[in-house]
Amino acid sequence: MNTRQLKQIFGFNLLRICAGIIFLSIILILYDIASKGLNIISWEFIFSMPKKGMTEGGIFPAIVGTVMVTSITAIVSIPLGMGCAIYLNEYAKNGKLTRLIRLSIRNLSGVPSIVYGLFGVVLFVQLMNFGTSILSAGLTLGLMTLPWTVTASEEALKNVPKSYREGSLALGATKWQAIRTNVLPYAVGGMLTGTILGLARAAGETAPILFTGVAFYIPFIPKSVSSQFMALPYHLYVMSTQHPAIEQVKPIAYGTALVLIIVVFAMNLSAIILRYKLRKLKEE
Amino acid sequence: MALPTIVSLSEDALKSVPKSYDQASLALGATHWQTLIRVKIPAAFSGIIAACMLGMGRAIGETMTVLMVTGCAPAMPHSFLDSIRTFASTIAIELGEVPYDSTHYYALFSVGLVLFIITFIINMASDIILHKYQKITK
Repeated sequence: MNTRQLKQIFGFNLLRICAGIIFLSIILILYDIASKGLNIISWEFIFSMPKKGMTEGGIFPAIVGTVMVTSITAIVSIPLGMGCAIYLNEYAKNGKLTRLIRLSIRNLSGVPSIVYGLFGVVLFVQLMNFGTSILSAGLTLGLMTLPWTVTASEEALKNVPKSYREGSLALGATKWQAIRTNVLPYAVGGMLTGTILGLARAAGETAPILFTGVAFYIPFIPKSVSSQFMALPYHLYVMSTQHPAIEQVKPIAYGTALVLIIVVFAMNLSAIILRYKLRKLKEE
Repeated sequence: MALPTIVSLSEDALKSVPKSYDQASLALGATHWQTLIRVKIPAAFSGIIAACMLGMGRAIGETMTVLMVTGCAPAMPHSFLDSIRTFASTIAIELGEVPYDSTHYYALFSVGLVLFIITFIINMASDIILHKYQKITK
């Protein structure tokens, strides 16, 4: 065996160790949360209100709050994002303006979440007078997920073969008819997959909702979109760093973390399954 | 937390190196390791750098994780073991408590502006690197 081969064996094993460390860290995080969170999770924990200053009881309002905010996020970001992607991919010519739009979208995806929070405070809470509410928080998160929705939708549209559009156009359809009947049905699955991934991230974000609507402790279900709410990620933050009786609520914090992880994983998993099924459909 | 970004974007960069490059290198008698180090990584280098920059950009703007583990002491750190606070966590901690329209309130917005400018520069730089790289590979 010469030095070249020795180098190769050494090098590849080094890379293997890198990959192993990353994998191990994920396992460690999951194990830590699952082992400490599993014994508190029960139907009662999920479906009951927090009691006695959150030291007892469940996390139902936080779950409901997260679901409500995420649905507003979806309502905002799905039509806007898909519309923007359709425009960029189908209608826009490759000019300076298009490049500028693309550049700003890519930059938006790198903007820190807390900056979105600040922006949301000024625009939605104060300027539009929505106050700290589910609506403001949902709109802020919607803005934050837009770049992901647009990018994913554009990728999905790009994957539709050109011949589909040309065939329809050749039969005398207008551009919009061609897009609606021949492009969108094939792209919509891919668009949704990307959007769900974006929404899953939005569901786990704390910083943008911190000032736009989330509340420390509300032991009932929010009545409308203009009321404050509890959310899983913020609840977790409060339980692990801000609560006065920190040792007492630690199990609840771990339970919340586990529920949050399960929610986000379930959303990601549904996106993956959707993509897998669509790929199968296409192959047939 | 920067890892997923860096790993998946670098992987994309490595994958987009044309196959003919490593086939040519292997055909010349190089080992897989030599091909990786001398051919594939240099070819994908700008993509990898851009991935790292994007990952760093995310780390700079990260709020809650940093807030929970740094301790948030507003003092000059003297070693890596001191408690510090970052731009993002300063905003997160203080904005909830300042009165509306006060100097402190606007100071927090200027902190946000500085943070935005920093991440904007990082993103622009990585974008330009990636763009150049795509042109070269085409």
